[in-house]
Amino acid sequence: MSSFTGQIAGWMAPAFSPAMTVDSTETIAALVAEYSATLYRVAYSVMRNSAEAEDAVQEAFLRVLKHRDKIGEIRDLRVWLVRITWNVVLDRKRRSKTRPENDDIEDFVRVLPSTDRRADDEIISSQEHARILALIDRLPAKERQALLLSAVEELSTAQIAAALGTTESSVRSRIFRARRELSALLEKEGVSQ
Amino acid sequence: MREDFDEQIDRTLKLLGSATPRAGMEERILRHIRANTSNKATGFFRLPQLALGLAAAGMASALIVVGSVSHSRHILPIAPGLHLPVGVQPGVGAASAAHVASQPVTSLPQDRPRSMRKTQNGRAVISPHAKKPNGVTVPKALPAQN
Repeated sequence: MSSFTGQIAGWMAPAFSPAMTVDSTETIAALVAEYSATLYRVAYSVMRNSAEAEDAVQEAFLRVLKHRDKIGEIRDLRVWLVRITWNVVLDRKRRSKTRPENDDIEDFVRVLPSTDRRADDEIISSQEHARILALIDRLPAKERQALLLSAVEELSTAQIAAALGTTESSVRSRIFRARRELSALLEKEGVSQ
Repeated sequence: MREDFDEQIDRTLKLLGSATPRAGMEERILRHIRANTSNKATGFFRLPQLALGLAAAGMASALIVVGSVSHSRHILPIAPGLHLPVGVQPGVGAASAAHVASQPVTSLPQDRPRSMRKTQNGRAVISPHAKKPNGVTVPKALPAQN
C-alpha cells in the first residue's frame, strides 16, 4: 500500500519542471562543448566508424541527462564521462558481436596527414593501420582496452586507471604487455616495412 | 625490427587518438538531447492524466456494481416456498441456482385460501350488496338443500 502511495506521489510530483529542464540542458550543453571531442575519440578507438562513434557519444550524453542530479557530486567529470562512454561503446560492440567489419577505411584516409604523400602511399598506410587494428582486436580484453585508451592523448594514465577501475601501475603494465604481444603478432604476421 | 613495429604501433595509435568528429557534432548532440527532454516532459504530463482517468473509471464501475447489487437485495423479498438451504451463501446467481424446499411448507391455522369466503358448495357467490351497473340483475342464491 505504501509503495503504491509512493508511486502515486511520484506521478503527481513534477519530475520535469521547466526550470530544471532549462538548467540541466545548459549544464549538459557545457559538458558537450568541453568533452564531446575527447569522448568521440574514446568511442572511435573502439567503434572505428565515425557515425557509430558519434551515436555512442550521443547515447552517453543521454545517460548523463538521466543522471543529471549526480553531476554536482562528481569530482572528475572527464573520467566520469569517459567511463559512461566506454560502457556505452562496449555495450554496443557486444551487441553487434562483429569485430571490425565496420572499420571505416575512408575515415583513416580522411584523418591521415596529406602533406607530401601520394594517394597510393595513403592507401597502403591505411591498410597497414587496418591490419594493426585488427591485431589489436585479437589482444586480451584488459590489455586491448588499456592500449586503446592510451591512444587518446587527453587522458592521463591516472584517468585511464580511474575509467577502467584499476590502478595506474596496472594500466602501465597492461599497456606494456599489449605492445609486446602486438609486436610479436606483427612479427608473426610479417607486417613490416 | 622491434623498433619498426613500435613505430608502426605508435603511428596507428596516434592516428586513432587524433580522430576528429564531423563538423556540427555538438549541435547534433544538443538537438538530440533537447528533443529527448521535451519528449520526456510531454510524457510526464500525459501519464498522471491517464492514470487518474483509469482510476476514476474503475471507481465508477465499482460503485455501479455495488449499488446495483445492494438495491436488488433490498427490494426483492425471498419468494415463499423457496428457501435456500442453510450453509449456502446467498449472492448473485442464475434462477436455476434457487433450490426448492425439500419439505412441504405448512400454513398457519389462521391462514386461509384466497377464495374461501367467496364460494359456497363450490360455486361463486356474489354479494347482493355488491356494487354493480344499473339494469343488471343479480340472481339470488339458491337455498341450501337439506
